[in-house]
Amino acid sequence: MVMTLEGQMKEVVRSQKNHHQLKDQFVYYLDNVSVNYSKSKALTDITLTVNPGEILFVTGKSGAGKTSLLNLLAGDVLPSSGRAYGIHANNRFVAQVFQDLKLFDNRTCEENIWMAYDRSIYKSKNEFYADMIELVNVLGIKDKLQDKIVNTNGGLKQKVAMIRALMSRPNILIADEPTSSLDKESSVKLFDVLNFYNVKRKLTVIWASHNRDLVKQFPGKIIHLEKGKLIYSGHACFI
Amino acid sequence: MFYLVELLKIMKENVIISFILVISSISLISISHHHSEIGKKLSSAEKNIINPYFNALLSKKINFDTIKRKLSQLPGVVTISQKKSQVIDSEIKRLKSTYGEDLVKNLSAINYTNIKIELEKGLKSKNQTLIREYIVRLIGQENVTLGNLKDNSVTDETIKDSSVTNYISKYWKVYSFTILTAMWLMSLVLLSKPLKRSAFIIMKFQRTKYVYPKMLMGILGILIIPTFAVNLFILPKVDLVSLLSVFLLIGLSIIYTLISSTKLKV
Repeated sequence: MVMTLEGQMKEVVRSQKNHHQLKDQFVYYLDNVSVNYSKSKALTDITLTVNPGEILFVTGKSGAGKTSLLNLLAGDVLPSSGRAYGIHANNRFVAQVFQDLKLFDNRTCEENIWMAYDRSIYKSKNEFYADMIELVNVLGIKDKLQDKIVNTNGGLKQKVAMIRALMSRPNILIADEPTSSLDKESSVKLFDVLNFYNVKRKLTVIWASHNRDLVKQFPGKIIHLEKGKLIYSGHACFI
Repeated sequence: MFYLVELLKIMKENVIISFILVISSISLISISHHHSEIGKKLSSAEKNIINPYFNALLSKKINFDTIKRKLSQLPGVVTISQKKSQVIDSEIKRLKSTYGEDLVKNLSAINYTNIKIELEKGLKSKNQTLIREYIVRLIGQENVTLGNLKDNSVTDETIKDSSVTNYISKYWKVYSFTILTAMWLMSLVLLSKPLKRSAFIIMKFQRTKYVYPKMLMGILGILIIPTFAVNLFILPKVDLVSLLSVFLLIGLSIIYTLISSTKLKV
């Protein structure tokens, strides 16, 4: 059936309206998004929705495109094709735990956490400090606060990076392999903290991990990537 | 305040680069503000080296202008100038050490005018002696005391030295400005890397924007403007060169900030 021009125009408007509704409904909505670097394809035709207050695990082997997807969601990478909604949205704040952590090596753990002290969020330094001590106690690193990052182990660094991200009181937390240097017990504890924030503060968590067995234990949605393509999307316990 | 503290932390962590940046900023602004004074000093130093000269203490009863006019007509004499009182004191001290306390005590009792007689470069010692003898004859032995001849242009080494001084006094502005600007720009570029890193982290964990330009402009705030203000306080005059140097630094900072802000990644 051949559609008239008027009909085609209405279809376009309708599809745009649908996209606007989707945009408002989801934290992120990716529609056939691809990301290409100079020579290689990092992500191919990814369609994905992230709901507010959801915990999303992104799994896949090294080079599967996990970091590229996280960078895209964080707004550090632009899509080469497709439509991506929710990136750079003004009504939310995204904090990241980077794969390389991006901590200041010659500063103490505490000084690194203080980088998240935002005067528009905290009424005073005391309020920030109280929150920090609470988190530090839960993760058991209070006696390490004055240690310089350069002298600490990978696990402690990851905890500091996680605390720094949470102290910025984000709406969305994007964590790239946040437990790669942690043992199972510490990883579970870290997840418990995120889960608490998720329940109490409606924090949306996007967590990339190559360890599928670990994330399967946690409640939340899981997507599995292989060679830049989305292979599986569903509840973590069904994978 | 947070940016300033962070900026100082970064500067502390990169102490050598920061030191170069601070020194080159202060030097560049100060030199450009005092360029004419430095230029005068350098050219007078050059003069002293090039021509042989000797000082003479004249009794106050002798008219300096008459003596100046008569001596100027002598072949081999370049200039005759009157020295200031501070210079006279130092000259008397020097004479004290050469001729002894007694003579100088007597001399100090009399009011003196100190004059400097500059001779032509390469003038034979015979002719130099003739000029000195003429002065004594003209003024009278009791009214004049001649200092030793200072001839810096005699040896090849001093000629070489004077050509270096000559060169420096001619091109010091070009070289000092080029070297200092290059040092300043290089240290700014090197310091911008840790600045970018810090700005990136701050923007990722705080709800703030344009942190990197703010921090880079903070450097201007704490270095260029106070340095200019202090120089202006010391020497309250503003000329084109000093203004240009400040605008050059501010302009380069803004251009570099705009260029480097486009790729704010670590």
